[in-house]
Amino acid sequence: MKYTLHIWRQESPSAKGDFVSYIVDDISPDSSFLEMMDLLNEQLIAKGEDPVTFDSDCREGICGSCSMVIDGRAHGPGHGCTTCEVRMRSFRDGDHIYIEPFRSAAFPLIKDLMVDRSAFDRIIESGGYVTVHSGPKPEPNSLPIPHAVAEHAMDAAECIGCGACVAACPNGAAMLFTSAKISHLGLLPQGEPEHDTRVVGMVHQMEQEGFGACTNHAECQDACPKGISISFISRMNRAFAKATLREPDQRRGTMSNQ
Amino acid sequence: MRLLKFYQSSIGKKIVAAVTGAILFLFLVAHMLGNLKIYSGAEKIDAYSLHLRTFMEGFFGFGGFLWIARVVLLVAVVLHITSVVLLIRQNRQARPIRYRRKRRFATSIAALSMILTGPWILVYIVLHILQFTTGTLQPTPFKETPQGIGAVYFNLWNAFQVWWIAALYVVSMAFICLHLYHGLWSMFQSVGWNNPDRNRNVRLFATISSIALFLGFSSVPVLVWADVVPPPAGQDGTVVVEKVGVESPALVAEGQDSRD
Repeated sequence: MKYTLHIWRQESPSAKGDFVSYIVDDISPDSSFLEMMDLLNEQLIAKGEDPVTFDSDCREGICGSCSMVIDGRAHGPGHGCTTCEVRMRSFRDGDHIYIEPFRSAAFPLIKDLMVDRSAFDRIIESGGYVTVHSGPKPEPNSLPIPHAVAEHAMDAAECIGCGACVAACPNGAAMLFTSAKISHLGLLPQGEPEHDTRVVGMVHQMEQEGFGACTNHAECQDACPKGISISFISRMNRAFAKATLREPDQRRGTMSNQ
Repeated sequence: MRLLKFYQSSIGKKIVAAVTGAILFLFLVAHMLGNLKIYSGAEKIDAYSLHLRTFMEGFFGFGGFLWIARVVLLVAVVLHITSVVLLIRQNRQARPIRYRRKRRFATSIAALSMILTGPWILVYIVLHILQFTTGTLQPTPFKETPQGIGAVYFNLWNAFQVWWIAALYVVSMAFICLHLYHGLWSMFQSVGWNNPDRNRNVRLFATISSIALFLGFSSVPVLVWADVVPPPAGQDGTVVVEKVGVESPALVAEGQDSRD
């Protein structure tokens, strides 16, 4: 199979980037998209050119490293898969393929297709944790959790933090990521003590990072390799409103009657 | 302080847009039901218009209740637009470099066109108020009753004799309802009342409401223009204050001519 690739090349964060076209030939339809990229890079290295920089790690769809927008779709064609799971048979022989980095003000570009997604780490640091006691290991079944609740929390916990939701969102919002991280802890009794501070802290950090706002297009849900539901965004909105408006800030202390 | 913290977040602004949107939606439902009284005849709809001013007159005075409603609606409109404009600004900044290949997979035309239907609706509302509430714009004969309020039936009937006014109203209603098709569903999602188990019903509510409002509202200009709604009796016993210096029957005839 033969393809014409139009890849975004940018030397450094401050350099001016543009699309560069490459022709790759003799590609097996059963090779993965990243294997095709590896072959291209080997050719570039052989010619003494700078290979295309892109993120990848596990190459089995669980690490959330790969981050490309292929032909206008985050992670490329198909549902519920990351770029490493895309096979070249998804394209027709002779296709022109546009490869762009995830575009977001909060994901500064490092080089070519590699972006800095540490904004997500800072959102996690702002509340994506639970308090555990450091004594002897507790009896695992001492805290009963209904099966449906555990499954619901697991649906949110599937998030691999790849950032495809941000890349696919017409507004560059990180609502799906943040809401999934808030929900997978907030739905469980272990996450209850920090429920409100978690929502407020993580939402605040999300806004600080420069992500956009949700306009309910549901593009994130469609692009998510783990199929995370926008119902978690709805849940986060309600939790945020409750935490900021209804919950008392301070109810301790003495009071004067005059 | 709490409210400020709430509003500083994009989620807070979305919820404000949703709640004010809900107020405006309820107003639209009431407005449409009021409009449908045109099919009960001139007396009924003119009496309804007067009733809106005399409702709780003993407490609020003549037109007092209506003014309270107007202030609430104005505040809702201002908050709705302000919140959305701030969100749009945030969203523009969130993606400084756009994609070369931009494709959409999940969204709808209604959702993508919110940014176009919104401003259109604002311009339409201003023109609509100038035409029928204040009578500042009078492209067609306009009458007031002795109480100083617009003679609803007469004014509507004359306005919609002109094909482009009727067409403009129908198009504007289509835009409002396209806005509602996304907005009414979005409202539940934004305030956090949407869930996979009720999403189907929320979607159905938004679809049915927007289509019903479109049909209810646009039936009036269409049926008036199509002469299904009978012309107002110029000499129907009620004393009317002429705002235009021409005899009304002549104008009615003229309006019909220009349409043909």
